[in-house]
Amino acid sequence: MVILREGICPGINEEFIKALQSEDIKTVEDFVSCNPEELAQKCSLSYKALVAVRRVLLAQYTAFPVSGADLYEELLSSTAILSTGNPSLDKLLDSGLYTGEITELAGSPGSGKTQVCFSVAVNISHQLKQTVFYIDTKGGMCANRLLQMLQSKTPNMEEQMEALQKIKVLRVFDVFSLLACLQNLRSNGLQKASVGGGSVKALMVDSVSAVLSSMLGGKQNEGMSLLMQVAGELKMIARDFSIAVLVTNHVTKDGNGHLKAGLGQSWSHVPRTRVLLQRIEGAETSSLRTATLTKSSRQACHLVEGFDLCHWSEERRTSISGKRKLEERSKP
Amino acid sequence: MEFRNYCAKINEMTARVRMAENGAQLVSRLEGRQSLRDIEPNIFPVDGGPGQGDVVEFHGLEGTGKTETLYHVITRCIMPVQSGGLEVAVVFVDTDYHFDMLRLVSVLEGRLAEGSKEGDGSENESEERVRSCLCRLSVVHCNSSVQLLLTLQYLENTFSSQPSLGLLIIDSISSFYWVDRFNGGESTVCQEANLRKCAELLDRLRRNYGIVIFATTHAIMRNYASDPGVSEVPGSSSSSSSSSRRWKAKKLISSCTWTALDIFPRILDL
Repeated sequence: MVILREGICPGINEEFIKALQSEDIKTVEDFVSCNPEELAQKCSLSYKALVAVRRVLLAQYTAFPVSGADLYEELLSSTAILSTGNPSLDKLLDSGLYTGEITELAGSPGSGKTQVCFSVAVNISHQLKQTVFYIDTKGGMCANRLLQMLQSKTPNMEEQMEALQKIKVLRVFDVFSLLACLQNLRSNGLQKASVGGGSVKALMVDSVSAVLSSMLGGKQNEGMSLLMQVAGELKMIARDFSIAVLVTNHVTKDGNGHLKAGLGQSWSHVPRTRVLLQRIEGAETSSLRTATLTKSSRQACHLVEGFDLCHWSEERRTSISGKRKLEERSKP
Repeated sequence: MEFRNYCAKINEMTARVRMAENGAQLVSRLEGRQSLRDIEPNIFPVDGGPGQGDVVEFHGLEGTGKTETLYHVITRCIMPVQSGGLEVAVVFVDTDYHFDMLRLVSVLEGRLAEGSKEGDGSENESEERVRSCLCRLSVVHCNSSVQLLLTLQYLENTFSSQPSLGLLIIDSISSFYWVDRFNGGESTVCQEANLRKCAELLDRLRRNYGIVIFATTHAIMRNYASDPGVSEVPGSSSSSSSSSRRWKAKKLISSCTWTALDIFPRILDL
């Protein structure tokens, strides 16, 4: 709702606003929806002035159409695929994280979501030499663990420090500060970071459900509205700055007892790709995990790959096929 | 002196008429747009497709193929006639930044390759063809229902001045539901105000200019009467408990919808 105020555009002064208010027109959308001819007769304002103001307001607040060909050119030059560093995960994600999209990692506690985020961040900052923004909402960010991962990749101290500097950590613990942080990033944070050297190519939010799930439920609408606002901000950042966004989410069970990502149906439309992480049954203490592709616009769903959290860059020899997974699920 | 005043008056009057509509615009409005009746033979019956001024709503859960269907429909519209298309310009209003141009181009390239029987071979030529098709598509991103309303107002001029524009796609029209519902407070009238104005405007556009409108809506309310599970058909809205939960914006769109399509995973076989 945009309220008509003096100075909102040239040609609107106090008497103009008063004349409109007498016809109960207080917002820009009411003004634009009215027919200027009828308004000119009722308000005794000049028709030309009304049409001119209408044109200026529309130019100010409308989104302008872009030709498909121009959009395609832009995307061709700005889209990139960021490898995660793990060949199995790359196979699932069709060679890696795509910029301009939101990818979601869902899993139960201890399934390795934060470790996967760390590994991907380390790979992007060290291997691909790009800046990563990491928004930590759970307090799980541990710089020592990042250093440990870097030390296993290279013994050179300088390289390790350089890679660590490219990972920028932001700590927020409630949804309002998350929204403020994202809006800040969108308005000036990302441009500043890319000016300093090294472009920002990835944004991770670990985890988005930690701040949102407490706001949902019951009859309140505020939680859903905040969820959609967070989704909108993430999408705008991904699209306008050509950044790959990776978010983590918890899991719940649906009516048939199968695992599905949390935060409900409204959130499920938001990520373009979704990967479900699970421990391997019977090997709970090991670092082996399975990743199932549950939503993708590029590959067939329900592809399963196994990988080892400790040996990130190695390819697993045997991968669990989809059939065996179904058999395991149907066991009582 | 008198003659000059008389001329000035005539100029003013004709200027006003010019502001309204010029000859070409009048003809384009009266002549009508190209028919889209055979736009998608897989979904609509033969010669039973959307006529001028029809509104079609695609409704379904996530992953049921609504946006994918739209890509196929867009491809059919923007391709040249010799490749099997309709050469109709399309405006795509994207409200949740969901539009994947790369996916659309891969669908378009597939269809163009099918359409061209002799192996053209040259990559430059196919790029050129893709680009010339994409010139018939315009994409607009809206991030709030106010911006959607104002953009549709702005697009009214575009529709009146371009007779080749035959299709308006809004994907999806339900994305501002929760934000509007919270901003409107307790009164449902306030909550629905923006979307109601959008629906009235769309009604005016389709009546005056004869364009076809496709809109998608997400199924965001869970129907507790019958849980969808993995791939079952979502429960029908005939049960009384769930019909009251159907959100009001969908009713607004339904008031000017003549055909509604529920997309189920099994039926769609594109």
